[in-house]
Formats: sequence, C-alpha cells, structure tokens
Amino acid sequence: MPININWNVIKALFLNTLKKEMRSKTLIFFLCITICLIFVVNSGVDLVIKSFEEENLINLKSQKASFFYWFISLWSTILAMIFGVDTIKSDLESGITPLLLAQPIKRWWYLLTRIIGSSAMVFSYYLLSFLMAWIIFFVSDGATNVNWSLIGALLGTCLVIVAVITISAFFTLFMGKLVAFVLSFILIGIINLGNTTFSSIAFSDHFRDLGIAKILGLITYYFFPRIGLWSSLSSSLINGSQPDFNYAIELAHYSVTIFILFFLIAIFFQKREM
Amino acid sequence: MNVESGPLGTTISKGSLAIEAHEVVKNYGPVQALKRLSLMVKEGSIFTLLGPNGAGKTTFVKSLLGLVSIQSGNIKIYNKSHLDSQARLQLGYLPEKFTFYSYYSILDTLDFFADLNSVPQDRHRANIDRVINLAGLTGMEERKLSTLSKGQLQRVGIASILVGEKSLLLLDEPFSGLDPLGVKDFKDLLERLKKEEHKTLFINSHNLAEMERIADQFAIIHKGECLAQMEMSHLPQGMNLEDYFTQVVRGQSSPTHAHL
Repeated sequence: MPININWNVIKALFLNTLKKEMRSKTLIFFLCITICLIFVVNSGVDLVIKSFEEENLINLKSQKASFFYWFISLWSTILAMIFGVDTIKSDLESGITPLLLAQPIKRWWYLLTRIIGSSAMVFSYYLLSFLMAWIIFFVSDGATNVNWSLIGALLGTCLVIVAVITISAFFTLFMGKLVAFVLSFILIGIINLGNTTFSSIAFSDHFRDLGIAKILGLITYYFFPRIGLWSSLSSSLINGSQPDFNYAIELAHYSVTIFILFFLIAIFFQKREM
Repeated sequence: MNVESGPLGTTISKGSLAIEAHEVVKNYGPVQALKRLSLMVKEGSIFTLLGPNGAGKTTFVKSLLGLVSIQSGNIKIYNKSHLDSQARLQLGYLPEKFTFYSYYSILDTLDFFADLNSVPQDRHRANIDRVINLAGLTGMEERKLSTLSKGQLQRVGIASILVGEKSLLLLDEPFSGLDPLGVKDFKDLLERLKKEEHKTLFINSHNLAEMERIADQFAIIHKGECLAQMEMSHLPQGMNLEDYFTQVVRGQSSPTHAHL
C-alpha cells in the first residue's frame, strides 16, 4: 500500500463524506428523538421524584443524567452501525463509486475518508446530544458534573464509533445493508459480552476450559477493537468514577486491531471489480 | 520518432499514442470478456470502439481505468501503465449514465472534481467558468443535479472531466438516452473538444451513423476480440460504417488490417 498521500484530495473526499452524511434522514430523526427524550426524561423524572420523594423509593434525580448519557451512548452505537453499513454501500449501489475511483485517487483514501467522515458525523451527534442534555439538566437542576475526565469519556466514545463504523462497513463489501446491519449488531454484541467477561477474569484463566463460546469470546477479545471496554470506560468517566483501566495497553491493542481491520477492508476493496 | 509494429500489422509512430493496449485478457469467471485484445488510439483523434451488446466495450474501458483487473496483457496511457496514478491524471471517464449526488449543484460538482484532480486553487474558478461555458451550462451553475435532464447531466459529466484538465476522455455510450436535439448538441460539443481543446476522445457507441460522422478512427470488437481497426476514411469504397460493421460482425468480411 503506497503511503504518499495527497492531502488536498483527502480533504475533498472527507468534506464530500460530511456533505453526504449530513443529509442522512436517520441522523435528523435521531436528533429530534434525542431532543424530545431529554425533555421527557428531565420532566418525567422530576414528576416521579415529586410523587415518591417522601417514600424515598429511589434517588432518581441523581440517576437522571446517568440514564440519559447511557441512552445517547447506546443510540450513538446504533447510529454508527447505520452509517457504517451505508457509507460505502450507498455509493456502490448508486453507481457513484466507479466515477470516484476513476479519478486519480487511491482506493484506500476513499475508504479512509468515508470511515472517518461518517465517524465525525456520528460523534457530532453524540457531542450535540451531550451538550444539550448538560445545558437542560444544568438549567433545571443546576447540576454540573463537568470535569476533565469527560474529555477522556468523549475520546473513548469516539474510538467506539470508529470501530463500529469500520466493522459495519466491512460487512457491506460482501452483503446487502440489512444483513450487514444484523451481522454487525450480533458481532458487536458478542464483542461487548466477550470484553465484559474476559476483562473481569485473570489472564491465566483465559485459555482454561475452552469451549466454542469461550473461543469465540477470546477471538473477539483479542482480534477486534475492545468496544465494550472503551464504552464502559466512557460511562464510568461520565459518572465521575475512575475505573481500573490500563490506558497504554488498551490504546495499543485498539490501534493494532483497528489498523488490521482497515487493512483487510482495503485489501478486499482493492480486489473488488467495479 | 519511435516507430514500431502495432496490432493487426499497423505501423504507428509510438510517440503519438494516447492508448496502447496489447493482448489484453479479461475473464469473468469462465467467461472470457476480452480475448487478447489489442488497440491503439492516436493522440488528438476521435476514436470509436464499436461492437454489439456484450462485445466487451465497457469491460475494456473499465480495464483502462483500473476498475477491473486484467488477467494478462498490458495497457499504456500516454506511455505509462494504466495503473499509474499519473496516467489516471490524464484520463477522464463519462459513464453511460452520469450519476452523482443529486443534491450537489453543478458548481459544487465541478469544484469537487477540480479538487480530486489537484487543480490548484487559483485556477479553480477560471477552469470552472471555462468548462461551464464550453459545455453549454452557462446560467445553470446553481442548479441541483436532481433538476437536470439526461442531456444536461451528460454535459455536467463532460464538464467534470474537463475541469480536471484531462487530455484523454473515455465516453461510454454518450448518446444513449438522448433525444435527437441532445445528440446533435452533444456531438457538436465533442467536435469542439477535439478542435478547440485538442482532446483525445475514446467513445464506446452503438450509434454507427453518428460515429461515422465524427470519428477519425474506429475498431470493431465482438465477443472480446478485435475484428478490425482502421481510419474512418479508409472504409472500403461504396460501404458506409453500418454496412462494414454488419459484414465484419457477421463474419462476412475477414479481419481487417488497420491503416492508422
């Protein structure tokens, strides 16, 4: 893979991706639903608190923001899958890909800019939802839990979005959007499950009592970006707790696995006939 | 000038070639789409590749662009491998149906293609104005692609090639779906491109009558094989292109040595 890069072309392709994805009806729909949800959660929880506070059933007020942040993280992941299955496939289906690849560009530039551009759009959705929620919760409750660890949380979410989009885009090279979406959903579910399981047990126990399910979990744990761990890290940081997380090893693991995944997509895409 | 023997026994000055394809083989699974196809296209000419449906015309164009890989043979664009990005800088492609993002305006589209072809920013606007004028799109710059007719879209397609300062234009069935006026306007545009812009045009077409009027050279391919390649002016006496094409494809005429 040649490494000479024409940054002006990369910039043009990246801006083209943003322009393309900005028009996504799904994104607009998700944003509208999110805004509604912020108000519903905010006023709904307040109502419940007023009704039950005397009985001290549960301290919902403190969990309001946590619930919302969990919700937008979940939706960002789903949105990332939707964008992932669409970003390359829609160009292939509409016949635009041959026109673009007939230009003096490398195929991997096209792939990279599609993945990064889509990730930027989903991350913007996440950031916007996050800011709106923070403003509304601050106005209504005066609650702020802003601290520097939030930046770490946002970066963690960003890594999750890039990985989910890359995985979903990979599937679309071989199948239709719907099947790719379902498979991405299943794989990301398995990755999350595997991450939760294997991060909580000692390394020496990883390869003991191997069964099919455990092997599958191990494959996702070692050979795919650890979406589950990064997602948990972000949630913990948002909620103000400091999880036990080896940043150096996990960042190195993420970098290597995402590079391999991208390399595989680039190889398959390079061989694809248009 | 470097002179050598070309396909079908032609003698060609090598320095003047825009496309040089030698023994190109392309298979789609068990189907042989191109069978040792050799073609040469002179710089500054209008060349048309003729053949019935499924003859391999589009496959050949896609091979030139590197959109499909060839099993053997070699292709050179201005003496460089067709896979070399420098060669692709010279090569513009207009598919049978120009499709681009419907929400882009003509101006956005041309700006994007100028960027993709690394046209320096200081030449962007001048280039865009020039090709808009050349393609007959003046006054329509802000119109979205979704509002354009098929003929207008083809013009945008041509403009998107020209804005990238390409010298060799590959046009795949450019008259397909155009009404008679659209065909006339498009034909005039192609002639202007040759005469005023000195472009080399490679046209895949079924439209024998139009091609006979505008092309300088032609080749006939059938089932992936090149059956004939010659100058239009060297058609056998008393025969038009349609008669000749029918004879060659139906096997009533032996493969013809080219006279380039």
